[in-house]
Amino acid sequence: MSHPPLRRLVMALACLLLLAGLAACGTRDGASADPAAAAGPPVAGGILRAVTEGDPRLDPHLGTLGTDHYVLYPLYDRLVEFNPEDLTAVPGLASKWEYTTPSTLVLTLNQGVTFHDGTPFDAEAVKFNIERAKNEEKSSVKADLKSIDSVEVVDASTVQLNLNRPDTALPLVFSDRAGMMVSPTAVQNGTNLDDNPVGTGPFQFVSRVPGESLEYERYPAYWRPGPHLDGIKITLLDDSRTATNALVSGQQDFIMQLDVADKARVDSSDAARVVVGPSLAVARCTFRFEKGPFSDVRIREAVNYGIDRDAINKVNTQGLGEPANAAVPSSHWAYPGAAAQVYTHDVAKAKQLVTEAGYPNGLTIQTVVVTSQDDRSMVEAMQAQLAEAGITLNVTVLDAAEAQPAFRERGEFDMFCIGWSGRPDPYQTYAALYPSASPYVVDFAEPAELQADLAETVAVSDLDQRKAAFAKLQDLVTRQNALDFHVIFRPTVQAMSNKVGGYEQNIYGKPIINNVWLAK
Amino acid sequence: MVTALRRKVVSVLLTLLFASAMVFLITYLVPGDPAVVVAGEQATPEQIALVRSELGLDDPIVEQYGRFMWGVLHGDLGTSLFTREPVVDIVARTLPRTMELVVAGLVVAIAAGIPLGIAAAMRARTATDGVIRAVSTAGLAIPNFWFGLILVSIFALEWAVLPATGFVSVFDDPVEGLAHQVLPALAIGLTAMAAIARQTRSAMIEVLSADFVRTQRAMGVPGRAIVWQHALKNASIPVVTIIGLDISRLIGGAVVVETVFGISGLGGALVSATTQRDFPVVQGVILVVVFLVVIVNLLIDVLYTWLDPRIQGV
Repeated sequence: MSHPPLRRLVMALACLLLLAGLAACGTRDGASADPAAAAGPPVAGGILRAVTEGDPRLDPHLGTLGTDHYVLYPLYDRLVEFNPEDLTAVPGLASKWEYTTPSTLVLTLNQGVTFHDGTPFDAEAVKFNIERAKNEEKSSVKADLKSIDSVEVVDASTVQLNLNRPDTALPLVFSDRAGMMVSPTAVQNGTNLDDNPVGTGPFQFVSRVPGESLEYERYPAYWRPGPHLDGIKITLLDDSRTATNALVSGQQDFIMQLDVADKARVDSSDAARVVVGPSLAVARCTFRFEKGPFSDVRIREAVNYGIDRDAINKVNTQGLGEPANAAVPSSHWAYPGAAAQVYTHDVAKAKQLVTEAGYPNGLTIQTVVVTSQDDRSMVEAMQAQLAEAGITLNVTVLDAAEAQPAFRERGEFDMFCIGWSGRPDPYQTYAALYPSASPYVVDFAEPAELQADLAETVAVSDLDQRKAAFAKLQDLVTRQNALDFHVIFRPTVQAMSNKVGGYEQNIYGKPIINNVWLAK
Repeated sequence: MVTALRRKVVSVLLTLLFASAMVFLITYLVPGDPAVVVAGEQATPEQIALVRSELGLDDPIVEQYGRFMWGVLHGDLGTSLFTREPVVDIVARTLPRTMELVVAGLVVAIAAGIPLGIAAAMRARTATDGVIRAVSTAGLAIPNFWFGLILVSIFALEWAVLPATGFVSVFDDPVEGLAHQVLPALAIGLTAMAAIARQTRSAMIEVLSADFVRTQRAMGVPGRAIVWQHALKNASIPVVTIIGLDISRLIGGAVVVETVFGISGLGGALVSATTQRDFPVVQGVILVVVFLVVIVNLLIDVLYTWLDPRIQGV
């Protein structure tokens, strides 16, 4: 009895498995495309297919995810924008701003701007937005707007903000969520902005499938020279590897945030390229100050001396990130220079501090880290390095939903490692991370000078003076008190088809795709 | 038969009730507070408390479960804590994709598994049998997500003949639908194929050595007819059992394979709901999956009596 079809099937399956093995071992030559040469001059038209992660909320004042911004920027213009290279403030919906007194900020608005529903964008709209962002019970930007006492409409294109203290962080605060302008008409009509967002941005909302995709189309009445694209289709994919496959095979055009691990796969493709740059997103750990080993400043210093940030950066980000010793990376306007270079890798010093603090035989630190692969492998590297200084890290991995209540409410663990995505104005970061009232510290007695030093950073507008004030504040939190345990700034990595042109990366690390184009 | 079926339905209902209670308790006992996630990283304790009471998470658990079951009985599985989309809508949107994928995987598994099993049985202890057994052992051992990745790198990235990600229903567009489903179906169906091939092989070896087969051979019944018409039906009970188990396994496998292929199915919904602690979605989706598995088992039982009238148990 013979059954040739069966035999063929067997052979085919065997071949498939063999092929599978071969493909797993195979490599391709890593010819990387030249980003500058890609895509040529601007081209009008086309739908950009972009991939992002998370399930974003589209109400800018209520959402909380750091990844929301990627899909908010096309919909909502901001009062103020930022220079992508150093994050200094530049005009947005507000053409200029001026502090007429240290506690009075006057914004002059661009005219002829309309929301997607036709509502004019004017001083009344700004007043409505700021009051909403400040007073809405579940607003996630309340804290950023605390200094604003009242908003006065001077005329249709002028708004005056009366502050309860000098606050020169506001312009950059307005380059973030708090400055994203939503249509007052839509809100007053009870429209849920998460389902039906209405802004003044270059793209207007078309549709959304929760957890799956978003569709935007070009807003024809946009007040600036319009976007090149006809529309954007955003697919939500949490798996970077799957997103990479879609890009490399031509199913997608743009990946908003690529895992560093997938960079090589895009590099080896002829059809796509990677753009890498620094970002404000910092991998860091926060201490339990009130009890346990970290109540002693010497132990906080010891861990800071004990880790080799350069080595972690090389291993963890393929050297694409930056060792972190301050709240902002070196390309930022407020980078505090010398104040950021206090803790260099010094095992002997770390050991000595541990001994002086009363642990001649070393000590064990209960550490909790969130489930992100990047954070976990960073903590593993720290574990090995700190062991040399006699510090044992006992590591527990929990997801953020569990780690936060465990550390903050139930008093478990000595150290909590979770990333901080950064904020446009460094004041926002310092004010969020260090005061006793911060949700990021527990029962913490802040240094006496902290509030005064913080206030100094927002008392003046001049960037050089602000930079000096930040350097002083950084010295207080780092050198004097070792409140910080920053490790590395993560790189921001976007991957895109070689057809995509005009993309400009920014050091906030959150991609803005409003002005890209698609070559035919 | 009718009494037996009625008894079976009652036991199905009890199973579902028990499963709903377990699912509810597990999500309740899992550490992690959805209110913390919903409120976001910079939330104050007051904001978290507000969210908690709005979501009804501070009510007694019995009350929460009662509310949940009352809703289930009225066809309401609750609402996502994050997107506020009704869970019924999420299931209605994602379940058809997962089911299509599971069916495609099952087709692959049966279409390849049964012939392979028969081929191995007919050439037991020959080189062909060895190869088939090696393939099916490998099939059982290879994780389906890894196989999926390999398939994508060969067929989508290297040869660019099939799409790497996404899903199109064959009912919407047969050509695109097939193109999109071939790789996920192979990935998800591999383990089931291997299990079916092994089960078919051992059952067939036993049947082929039975007296009635020898008698048929002696009477000159053609080999092909013996195998496909007589032996296979007699060998089918254990094969059907393994297929029933495989359906449950395929639904489980879909969770992972959907991620690899970027398919927004039930699995993807479950994974993201779990990491976000979106309890109503987790509870609703699991309840639907339990329901499916129980129904499949019921159908398999019914199928037994059709295959072998001697089985009256139903």
